[in-house]
Amino acid sequence: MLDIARSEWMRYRWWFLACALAHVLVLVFFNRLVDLGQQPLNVYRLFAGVYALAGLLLGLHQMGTWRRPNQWLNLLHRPLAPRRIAIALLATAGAGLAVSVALPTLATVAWQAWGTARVVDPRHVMLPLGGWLIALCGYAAGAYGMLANRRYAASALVLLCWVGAAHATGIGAIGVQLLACACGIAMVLVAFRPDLGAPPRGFLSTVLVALPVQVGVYVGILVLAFLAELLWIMLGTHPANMVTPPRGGYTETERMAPRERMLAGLAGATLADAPLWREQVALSEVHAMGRLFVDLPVRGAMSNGVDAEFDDADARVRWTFSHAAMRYQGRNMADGRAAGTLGIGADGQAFAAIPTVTDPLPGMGHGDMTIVAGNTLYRYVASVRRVVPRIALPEGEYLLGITSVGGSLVAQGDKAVYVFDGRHLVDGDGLLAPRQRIAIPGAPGDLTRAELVEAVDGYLLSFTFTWHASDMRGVAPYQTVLWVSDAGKVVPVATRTMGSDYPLLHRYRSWWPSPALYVVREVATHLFARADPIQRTDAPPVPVQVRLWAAMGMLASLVAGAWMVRRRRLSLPAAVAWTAACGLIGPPAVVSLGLIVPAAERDTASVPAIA
Amino acid sequence: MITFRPWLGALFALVFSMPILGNDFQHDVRIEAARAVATRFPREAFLQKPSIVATAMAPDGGSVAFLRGGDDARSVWILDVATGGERMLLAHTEATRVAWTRDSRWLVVASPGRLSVLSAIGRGARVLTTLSGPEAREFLDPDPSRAAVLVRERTLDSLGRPAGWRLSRIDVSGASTVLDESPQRITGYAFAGERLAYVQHMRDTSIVTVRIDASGRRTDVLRCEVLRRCTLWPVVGEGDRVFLLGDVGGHLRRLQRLRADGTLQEIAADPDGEADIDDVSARPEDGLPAILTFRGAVAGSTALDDVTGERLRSIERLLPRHALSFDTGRSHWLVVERGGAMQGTRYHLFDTSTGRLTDILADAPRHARDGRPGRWLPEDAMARQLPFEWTASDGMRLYGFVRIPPGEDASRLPVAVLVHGGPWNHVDPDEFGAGYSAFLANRGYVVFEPNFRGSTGFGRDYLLAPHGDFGNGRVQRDIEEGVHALLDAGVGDADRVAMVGASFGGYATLLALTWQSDLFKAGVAFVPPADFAWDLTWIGRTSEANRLSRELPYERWMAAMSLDLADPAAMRRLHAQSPLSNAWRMKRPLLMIAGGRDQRVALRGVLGYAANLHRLGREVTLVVDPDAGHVNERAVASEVGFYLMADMLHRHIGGLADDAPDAEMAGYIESNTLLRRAIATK
Repeated sequence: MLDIARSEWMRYRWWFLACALAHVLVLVFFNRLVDLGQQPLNVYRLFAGVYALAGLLLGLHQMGTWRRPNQWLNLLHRPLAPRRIAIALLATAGAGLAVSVALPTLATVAWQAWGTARVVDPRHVMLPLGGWLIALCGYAAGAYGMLANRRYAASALVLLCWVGAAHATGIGAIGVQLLACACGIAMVLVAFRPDLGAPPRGFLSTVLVALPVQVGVYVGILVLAFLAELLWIMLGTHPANMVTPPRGGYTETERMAPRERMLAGLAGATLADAPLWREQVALSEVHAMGRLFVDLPVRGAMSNGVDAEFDDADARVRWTFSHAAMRYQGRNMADGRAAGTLGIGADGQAFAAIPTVTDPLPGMGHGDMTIVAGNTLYRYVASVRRVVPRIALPEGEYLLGITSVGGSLVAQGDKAVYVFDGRHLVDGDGLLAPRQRIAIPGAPGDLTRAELVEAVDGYLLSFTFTWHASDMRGVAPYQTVLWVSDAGKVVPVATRTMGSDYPLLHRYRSWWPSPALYVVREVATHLFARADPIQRTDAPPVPVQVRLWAAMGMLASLVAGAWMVRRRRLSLPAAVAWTAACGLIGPPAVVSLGLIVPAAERDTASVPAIA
Repeated sequence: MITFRPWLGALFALVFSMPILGNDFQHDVRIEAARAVATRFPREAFLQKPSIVATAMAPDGGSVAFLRGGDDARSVWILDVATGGERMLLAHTEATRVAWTRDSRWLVVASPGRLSVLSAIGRGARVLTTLSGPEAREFLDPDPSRAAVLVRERTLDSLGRPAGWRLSRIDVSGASTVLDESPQRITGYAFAGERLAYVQHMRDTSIVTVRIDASGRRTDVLRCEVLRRCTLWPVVGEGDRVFLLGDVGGHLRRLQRLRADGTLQEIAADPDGEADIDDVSARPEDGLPAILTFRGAVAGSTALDDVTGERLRSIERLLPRHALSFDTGRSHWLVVERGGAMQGTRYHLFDTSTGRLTDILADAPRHARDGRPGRWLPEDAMARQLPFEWTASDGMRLYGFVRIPPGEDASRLPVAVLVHGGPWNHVDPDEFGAGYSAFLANRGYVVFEPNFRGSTGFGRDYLLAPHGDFGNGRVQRDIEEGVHALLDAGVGDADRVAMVGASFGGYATLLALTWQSDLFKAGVAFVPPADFAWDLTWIGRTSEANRLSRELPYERWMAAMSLDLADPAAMRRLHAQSPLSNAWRMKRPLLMIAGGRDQRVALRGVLGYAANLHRLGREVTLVVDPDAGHVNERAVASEVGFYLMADMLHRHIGGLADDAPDAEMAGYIESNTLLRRAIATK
């Protein structure tokens, strides 16, 4: 086994080394331009894509050369079990990818840690491991693509899709990548056998082969739906692209100017003051409440979900947040040397949550910044280089954004909107007390827009919940307008239900083709991921109409599965299991049955069975 | 229940509001009527800006420093008094103020962000310190004892919060010395030689004067209670002669000497007993007060010694009936002249040895919008600013000014009542001002500018006389009774009276159209709070309150002015009388102009009021410049304000029509008009 691994290493060694060198050069180049440890997700996605592609190409090439009939006979004609041969080849590829992917990244992290004053956290040490696992996953997909039956060889790509779509961060993401990698390697081991292309034998092997095929078919259905939507757009009848969107629908609301939207929300108001409010809105500026981030930043995430750096231009210091210390660490912008740490208050306490930086608020001094972390808003006071808490929402709530309105500050949390007087933002001693609290009439994950109009004796607030108007993960679109008086009394003014503009089958397109695989998808993509409280939605139950449609699909699949197993040489348990799977999983299982188990008339030589 | 009969009130007001019609006013009216009818000048001529924006006479009297240019291209110059030659010292600057060091060798240049010194003989320049910033550092004055400047700044605690105050001296070499540091605001100082001998601190609501002896021992010598004025004169004379500009023990601001035991000796006050001291000029030889200037019903000055008095009289003989101020040097004085009918400022050099007066710095003004050179409006064609006094129905004597278009029958002219803002502000005598009143007079209106009770400049009693009655109450009655007094004096057509005002003046305009609509037929309100109590409360919630808390905390200041924001009854009363609460009563045509970034008057209040009026179908026009603050700095906005005001008054009380707006103005009106009622843009 070692001889095979050694000879395989010798075959690819220059490629591995060349890739490692190129990788090092790329990392060095970009590290000169930016701090690669403080990049957003898309930058790491780009790197991960390159790693996965490199692994994929390696797998395709390596197994592609070995699977030729002569080479394959030559390879397997050794006094070793095929599985041990496969392990030798896989180990060589793993080692090669470690050299070309993981080692350069690890060296870069080490250089950052010991050669610069840049922030290096344990989360950065996971980057080489993550890169290697993704490359290995790509490699497994490539190897499987060459070894498995051509009819479903591409199904291992769903593992890369899984890694890409997973919501897990940090160590959780490593866990997902590890699982995907293990699945890929297991699939390769299943496919690595003398009779290449033969259907899998045994229950576990069949599941290992069939599930990716079924998920692949499910993804294919979604892709087809997307292509159909593109065609819809080209026809010019898609609601999002119509010159005049459907009346009363959410597209129409999305296209409205803030003032029009507020007036639309007030249109059905019957309170005595409503006519005056309509007049006031027609004259006033409608303030949109900004949201600093869509997903809550997570401690230990390998990428930066929010901006982790800010510059104190006068002091020439760049402050970078450290997830390990939960404080900012300073670096002199002139000479790159360390310039101390920055915590909260005079004694530099650690932040309780990952902070993000935004523009200074009115009244703040030159060079000051606003920092938002968890439920608290802080002021960075440039003149004394201190971070001072100024606004804190109640425990358990999250501050999502702050907007200056008139002389006041409006803080948007995940559960409520707060109005603070702006007077003592800068010179006050303690935390500001809110003048008004207005509970948001809906879930934060559904909320698209929060808008506000100042009236003389209070505020009008409009909340539009349309984030998931075209998919099933959130509430059906609606708008609510509230009035909050100067004394803090909140009065519901009007609620407007909007049309979703799309047929139900479109909104539930990811569910009805296979409710079971939808559950698999949801479980897989949320595996090891922390539930994000600001993504909470009020998704309604699946409508009966859609359930019926899905049931019909499952029933048809059951019938088709039963019909198909009769045309295949399957043992009774296998036939029952396949038929049940078709009924339970729906059309993707029927397709997978057709792809994995050949009809008896076409291939009588191979007799698939489940042990 | 006994009801108040309106006719009885009107009769009461008529009886008690009879003007103190001295023969002077009637005489002035006759003189105005006898003058030639004035040419109608173009609107833009009233908006010209001076080319000289700041001046300073060197203590030795040998040079005058000045800033020349507009807001965007300003330069520092020196005029050599001996030769009359001008020399540019700095080609480009953002400076807003120039001053001289004590030795006349260095010129102090204060810009919004920094304080610099320039050698008067061109031998170097140095940035002394930055200004503003988190410490709110500000340039106070040149050090009266040596070549240095005095700056005040806030000290910050370890979390960057204001902790106290510091007074520092910065030498022209850049060396800084802390003179005083205190948790309380430092409001004044006085030097005996180079030693800080007295300092004033704001303790709670009082100004406390502290004497510092040669050994550094500190003794409190005087406490000026809330709203009492007592400003230390910065130089202590021989024999520990310390001077105060204050109203302790009286109501007018006057010159007092502070004795070591804390007692005060009266030195000088307004000879007429009407006005506060407005300004004091120093004697160049020893830096002690020499000339006191007053701005009451008329402008006047008085000297504190015979030599100065003789010089003053000779200047006044040459420049009669104008408001003068003096920047004194040893060999020459810089005399700054202003007048009610005189647009801009005139500068003269007074030679103390020969008594000769020479005109200097006679640069042509610049047009506001394009900066091209213009010409000051001819003084002899402008309506004069006539002092006008009347007695209110409660017996209080009140002051104001009237402009009557020359050569016209005053009794048949429409009246525009121009109410000043604040309300703690005033209309100066012999002041052309921003040009509104002169413009309206040139368009054929009698312009009445009342200094209603609550106005500044007439002493503490006058200031506090409203007792917080700023609704449809005492102050509004003052204005109304002033108009009646004017009409009774045969000036103005009672059927054609309108009101114009900005800020508090705008509020008074809304009140007038709401409650006195029989008298006032139309109104133009710039940045008007529609509910004074609400607006004051709103300010208290914003950082604007911090800016207004320079001397006293905002709420205490308001309470001292009888506007206790924590008094629900007082606030309710003002709210109940506000234009906002009584929008249904307002049936007169109204133009409102507001700013989207106004920190003093909440736009939401203006919009709320406009929305109310619009819903009620009233004739209201609303123009909102989204980028403007409480004062709109844009030249085109100023001219639009003039045009819209004139257009409104012309349509409703019949003055002369104004010229049509040009394309830029029409575009501005088009894009900023939220509610439109018949604005002619062509």
